[in-house]
Amino acid sequence: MKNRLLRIGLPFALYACAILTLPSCSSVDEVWEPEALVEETHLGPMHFKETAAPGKLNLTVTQKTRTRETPMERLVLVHEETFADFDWDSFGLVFWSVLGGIASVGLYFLFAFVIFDTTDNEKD
Amino acid sequence: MRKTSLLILLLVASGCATRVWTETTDTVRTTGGMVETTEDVALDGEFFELRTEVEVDGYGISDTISTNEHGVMQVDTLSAGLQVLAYGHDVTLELLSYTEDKVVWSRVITDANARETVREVAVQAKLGAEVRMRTAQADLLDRAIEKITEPEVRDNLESIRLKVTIRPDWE
Repeated sequence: MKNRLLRIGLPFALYACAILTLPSCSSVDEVWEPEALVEETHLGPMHFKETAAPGKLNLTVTQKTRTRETPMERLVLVHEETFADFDWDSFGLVFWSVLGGIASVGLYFLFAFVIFDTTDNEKD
Repeated sequence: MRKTSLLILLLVASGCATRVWTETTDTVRTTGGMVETTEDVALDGEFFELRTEVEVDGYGISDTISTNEHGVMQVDTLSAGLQVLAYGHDVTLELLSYTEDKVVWSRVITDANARETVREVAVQAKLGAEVRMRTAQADLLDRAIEKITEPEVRDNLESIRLKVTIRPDWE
């Protein structure tokens, strides 16, 4: 009974440990991203440059503008979080992928060294 | 024990996910000195009201236009020209800046300007160009055709009428 409990409980305890240690994989990185602080002030009146087209008048509007630009960096936090997201679909996918991988390698050896093994024939 | 290890490995491998996201903070630091420049720049995305005087019957042009990324906008002079021909007096076309809340540009459309504009548009219409206008302006075109007696101007207006397509109100 004790052995059975150990056999069932230990894997689940290990799994719980694995899940609980996942947050330790999470991290927060600080990145300084460059940007510019731009302040625009319009000075004086708007100027209109006219060019004529049939039935239309194209107006190009310009204005004297003072631009103050200050280069700076902004702090951006990059969060990376690892968490348990178990579901039976992904479990099945991993399970059959592992099983498929083992079967493929097994089949390779079966065909290469048993079924198509030519070394015995060469000896004869 | 080997089986249980495999089970744990499978459980962890199938249930482990990672997500990454960024959080922009308000913390900034300057990395250089301020650079100040003063120059003439094209105003993009600037909105204006294009309008003319309101006539006694309530007709008047009132439209919102804006500049593109190169600071260019198109002012429709045909509508003002039609107003001149239909009502028989000069019309002042004005641009009211929504930013400055005042009239920043104006142009008086005279009878001669109106006739010249109609002639230019009629040439384009005869070549197959579409003339887009609002319903009220199309009605004004009809009124101008009825009022004008000079054959050349009337012919030009009728050429335009044939190529008119109505601009919906939301456009």
